[in-house]
Amino acid sequence: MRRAIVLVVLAVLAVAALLVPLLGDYYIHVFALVFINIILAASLRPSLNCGQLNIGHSAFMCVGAYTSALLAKHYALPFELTLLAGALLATVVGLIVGYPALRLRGVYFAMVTVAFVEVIRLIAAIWVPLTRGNSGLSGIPKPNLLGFTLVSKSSQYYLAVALTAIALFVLWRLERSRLGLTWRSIGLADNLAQSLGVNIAAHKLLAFAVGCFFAGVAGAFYAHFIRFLFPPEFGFLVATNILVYNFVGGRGHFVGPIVGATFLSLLSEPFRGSAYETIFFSIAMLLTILFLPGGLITLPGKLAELRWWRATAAPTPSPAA
Amino acid sequence: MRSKRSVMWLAFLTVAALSPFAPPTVCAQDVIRFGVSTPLSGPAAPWGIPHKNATELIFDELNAQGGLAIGSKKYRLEVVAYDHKYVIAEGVATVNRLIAKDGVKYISVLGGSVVKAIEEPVNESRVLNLPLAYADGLVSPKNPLTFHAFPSPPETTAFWKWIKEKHPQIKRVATLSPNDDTGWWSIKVEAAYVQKLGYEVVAKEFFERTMTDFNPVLLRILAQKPDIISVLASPAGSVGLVIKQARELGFKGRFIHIGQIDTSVVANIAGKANVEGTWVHGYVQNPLPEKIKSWQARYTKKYGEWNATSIDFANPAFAFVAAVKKAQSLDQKKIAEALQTVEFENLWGMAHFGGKEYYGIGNQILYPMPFSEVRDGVANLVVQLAPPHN
Amino acid sequence: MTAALLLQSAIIGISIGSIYILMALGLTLMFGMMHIINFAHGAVYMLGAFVIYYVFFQGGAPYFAALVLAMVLLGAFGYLVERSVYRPIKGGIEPTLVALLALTTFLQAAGYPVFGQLDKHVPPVFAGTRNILGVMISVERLMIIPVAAVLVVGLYLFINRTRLGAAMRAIEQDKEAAALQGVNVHVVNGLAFAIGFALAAAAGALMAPIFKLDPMMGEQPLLKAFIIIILGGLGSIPGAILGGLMLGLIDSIVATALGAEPAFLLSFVFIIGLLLFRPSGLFGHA
Repeated sequence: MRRAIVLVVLAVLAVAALLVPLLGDYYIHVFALVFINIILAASLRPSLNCGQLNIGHSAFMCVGAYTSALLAKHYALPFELTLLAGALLATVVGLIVGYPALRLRGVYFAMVTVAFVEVIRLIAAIWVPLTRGNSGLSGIPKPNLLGFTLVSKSSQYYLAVALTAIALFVLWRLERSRLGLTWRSIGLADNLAQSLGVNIAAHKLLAFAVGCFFAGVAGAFYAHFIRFLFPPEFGFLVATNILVYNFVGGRGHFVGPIVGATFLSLLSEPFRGSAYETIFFSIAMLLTILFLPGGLITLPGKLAELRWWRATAAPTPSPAA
Repeated sequence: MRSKRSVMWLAFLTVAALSPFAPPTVCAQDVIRFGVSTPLSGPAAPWGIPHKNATELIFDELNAQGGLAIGSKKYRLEVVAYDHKYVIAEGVATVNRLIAKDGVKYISVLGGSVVKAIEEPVNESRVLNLPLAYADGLVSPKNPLTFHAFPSPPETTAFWKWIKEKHPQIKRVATLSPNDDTGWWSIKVEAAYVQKLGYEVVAKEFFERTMTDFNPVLLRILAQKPDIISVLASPAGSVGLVIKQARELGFKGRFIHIGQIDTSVVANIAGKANVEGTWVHGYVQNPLPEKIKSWQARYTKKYGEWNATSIDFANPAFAFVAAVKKAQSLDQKKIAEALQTVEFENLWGMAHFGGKEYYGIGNQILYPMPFSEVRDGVANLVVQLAPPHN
Repeated sequence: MTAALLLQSAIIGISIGSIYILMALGLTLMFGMMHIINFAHGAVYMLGAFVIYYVFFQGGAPYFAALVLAMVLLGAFGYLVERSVYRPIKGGIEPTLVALLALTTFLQAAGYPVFGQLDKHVPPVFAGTRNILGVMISVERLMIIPVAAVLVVGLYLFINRTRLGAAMRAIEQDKEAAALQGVNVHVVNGLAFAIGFALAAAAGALMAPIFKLDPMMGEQPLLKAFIIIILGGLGSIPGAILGGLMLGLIDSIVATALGAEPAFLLSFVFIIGLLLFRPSGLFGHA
């Protein structure tokens, strides 16, 4: 069952990756953003697995985005360097915030992340000489990768696909490794894990840092793709979106955030610029939380169960005495 | 067996999720689609709504007469409008949608910071833009296809000469504008101009567009005892709150907005008595020349209520239609060339694009600009000024 | 910054602080009892203001009647939310937070088609300005203080002098023990939701004649309320009151001196520090 879900998701992603460029610039743009959201949602998962409710992920996207954008714009550095710089700085910032915040549990940790994401947004808004504040940073160059400037939208799209593939691969391997197992054990019962000798603090910090790194990657790509950065885009509400992608998609499986990010990103795009954009988004959120608490990935299972209920004759008799 | 079913379901969901993206059905051949990205909600909606409505009205009237003739063919004009809520990211997204998805080649965008943000995509895709926006470097040789369709601070500051002559007791000026490109450039131009005229600029403050509590910034301004506060580039919703709160704090001086503001909206928010004596450009309720009275009747008939902002915000549509007629072509470059030379009628008189000596390129609209003073809640025309440069 | 300016911003700050207190009280009550942060509080604030718009301004009803109506309507809504959203989600804190987030996003987004695209305004209930100790302040803003005070005192009396209030305090201390004592935890939780929502609605209703109304108006007050309940201590009512006053004061003074966004930034940085080194805040229980 789970294998099937993973295969389907991979198939859909592969199809999208290959076929979307044929649909024209508009669709390329939309799907590139979907891939960015996938990276963001998937990178939040390690923290969530550890039981840390992080509502501030977009802050690290913001750091990665502005770092990469400013380095490319003012120093003409190539994308591979600015991407790395953005991701690393995002990780460093994450470590600075994460280290003292680790001791906090549950809601207190969440509140710190909420406060922090607003702090980053406000710094970007106030530090006008650097970021041009709420006027936004424009004139960000297109990605200059390994000497080639990616001029066309399709080439940038393929870059997004490649980055997503790398990110998902790394995150997948981490989740399936012993490290990932340790993370989940911390999330389920951290005291128990600690009694077995697990250094909870170090592991939580690592999960947090991994997340920040990939958020920085997503941010750096975003900066060179949209080529315009605006601080309110990285605020509290956007950060909650990333959390929602995880919950609506499903907390129980690695592909959950992928499904959630894809579904919700695609849902709002046709309505962009109208009042209904957010309405459908929020209705989808509400319905999923209320009726599919496990997320969208449990939907096929639930539907199959419904079918099972309908079958009046059971294929095998119940093992009654 | 179960996996097969789940595969089918997921496939179905994917298709369902992607179906809204089916490419639009092929439109009729003879349609000219004109894109509008403007704030249709929020504090700047008093600008955006008449912007969209005026454009649609002019196009509808033309369509009723058979459409726009290019050669032997007649074209129907259609407006594709999106709300950007004066949020720059939405502005970028909606313009991207207009250009990439809806395939429009001519647009009109409202909002200085929005227009700055889309400068590069617009130039790269060679889209003709007739914005209503204040932004530094908007009208410049690097934006050859951008024609600003509304008087900017370099033109409207001429009104301060009139103030100096008629109200010499006003000496101390304070400014309060949005904290972005629009506000920064507007104040830069206005402050420099009034200082040259001999006024003292005692305070220059900026506010975030989402601000509703202006008390802190007003306290700072009022501590400098200004005679007049300029709220250039601020939207009606914010200006209303500013005036209301300033009066609460005891300010008795005048307000001035040489951009454009719907003073009826402002009076609604601040209270009629509080807006008495406010000066504004581009908004006149009384007296209206015959030509505008006719426009008023047509506008009210179509939209159910009158909006005087539509008088000036009809400029993009008038300019576009006149230029296409002159160029006899749908090519953006040819229409742009026509725009630089065409003389056309707007609701205030004859208009043309010029300003080459000031901007480096003649892409700024010029016509006799109306200025009003609010008396008893009504904006009364006090003078129409010729533009200071040609 | 002159003394006169300081005094002026201080008095204005106390007035605004009273509104924030009302928001924070509901939040802290709900946290104390159910350990959830109600992200929907901002939307409720907004709805309270719109009730005033339609019932007082458009409908012509007396202001205080409209205020009470707003509180009753949204209190009922709160009870409904507890029953239909909070109770069915047995998954714990995170799904509840996400559900409340979804609710708030929906209410704010639906506000545009329902209430219209343009910002709305409610004329002042009390006209005029007064000169207090050399400070000019509108009567409208002054009136907030006594009304908020009445509500706060009312809440205090309810919590400390009634049986239901005792039940709430019992649940806050130990849910299971309270249930064993015969307290119907579900109903009392619902009541907490109702009271929290009613207070948020009152805050919005009091603010309506002062600023403007739009569907997103509750976002900033919500963030300020977060700051207050951390400052005062999550779950502490006296903390919410004191925290609200402090934030109102300091925010106003700092905003006058440096600007609104730097003031916001400083308050967030401050509470990060607080959370890291003294999470219990002023009065909270850790």
